[in-house]
Amino acid sequence: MMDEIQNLNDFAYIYSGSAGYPGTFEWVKYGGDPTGVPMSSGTTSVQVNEVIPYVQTGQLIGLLAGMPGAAEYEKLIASPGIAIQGMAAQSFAHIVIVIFIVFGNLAFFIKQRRDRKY
Amino acid sequence: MTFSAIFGAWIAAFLTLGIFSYLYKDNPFYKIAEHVFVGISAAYVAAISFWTQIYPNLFGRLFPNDGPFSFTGLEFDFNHEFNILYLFPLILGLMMLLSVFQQFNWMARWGIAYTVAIAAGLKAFGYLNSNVLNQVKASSVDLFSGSLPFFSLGGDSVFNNIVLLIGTISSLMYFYFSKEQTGNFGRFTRLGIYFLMVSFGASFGFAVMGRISLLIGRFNDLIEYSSVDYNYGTFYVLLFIIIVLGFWSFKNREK
Repeated sequence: MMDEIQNLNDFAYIYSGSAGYPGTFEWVKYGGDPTGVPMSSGTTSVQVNEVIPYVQTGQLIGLLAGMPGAAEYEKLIASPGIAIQGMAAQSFAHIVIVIFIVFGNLAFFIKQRRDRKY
Repeated sequence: MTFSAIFGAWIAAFLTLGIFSYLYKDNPFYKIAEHVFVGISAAYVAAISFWTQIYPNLFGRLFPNDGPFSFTGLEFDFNHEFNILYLFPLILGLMMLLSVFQQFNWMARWGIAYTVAIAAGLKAFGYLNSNVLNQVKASSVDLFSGSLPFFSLGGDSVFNNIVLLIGTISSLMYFYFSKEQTGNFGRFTRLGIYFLMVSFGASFGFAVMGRISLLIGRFNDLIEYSSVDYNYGTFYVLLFIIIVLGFWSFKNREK
């Protein structure tokens, strides 16, 4: 299968599944960019914010962004799996966190007002 | 289900629940899981580095089949040809290992200096090319060519590019300390802070999302290991941890 492969230029496409370092960042810097071979990636949510600029510049032609990206991909290929199953739990967890943040801020402002009063 | 799969599942359930037990308080189960994690991580990285890097790439090139050192009996066949240049990384690596001896620890500086210099050179090129030049090039768009729509929620547009331009300049100006940040300049840099805050907020949101995904993954496994296929591993391990933790807390009441 790798008979006539000498280096990255012999590939038509690069895909990087990344969960840390070295990962997508290194593949973009030392793989995709120097060779010009089209590249895309799937990363954990933690990395998305740093990788997204590469998509906007065209250094990555696409990105599976964390679990939501994986769920979108499962839907695209009509093969529901653990990512789609996990989205309900993740959405619920996000709502809980947002409620906690709102309550925390409300408590902070109420305490601040009370302290000012007395 | 094989014995090794069931045994592995029980160990995984024990380590996961051991880490979760920190929610109660610092305890021996948490300590065990933490130490096992650190130890295995270090050992795994060392083993992977040796068997996928040093063994095939270094030994494979210094001691290939029918190489000049074949008479020593050391031959590693990875379809590489002998390359004398690989003696340098071998010597530098050995010099770094000698740092454990007080009288030879100066030798480690050579290896470290070489590694740091190579890493700095490679990183400088990668960062400059991918994170600076390509980003600047992509930011330099002709706003008034008429080829872009004025507003678009999901794609490239004149409005989005103006926001990008103002956000980039105001954020950079926030880190310009040669001029006092007062008056109009101060207001502009304050705008930069807001852009930075939005960026940090997005990072935080994605980080939370990532951690929640990991938590969902652990719960998925725990649910799977609680099935009859794994002899109800999660239940028994949880019961064991609760009983021992209860006993441990009872014995350490004064703490």
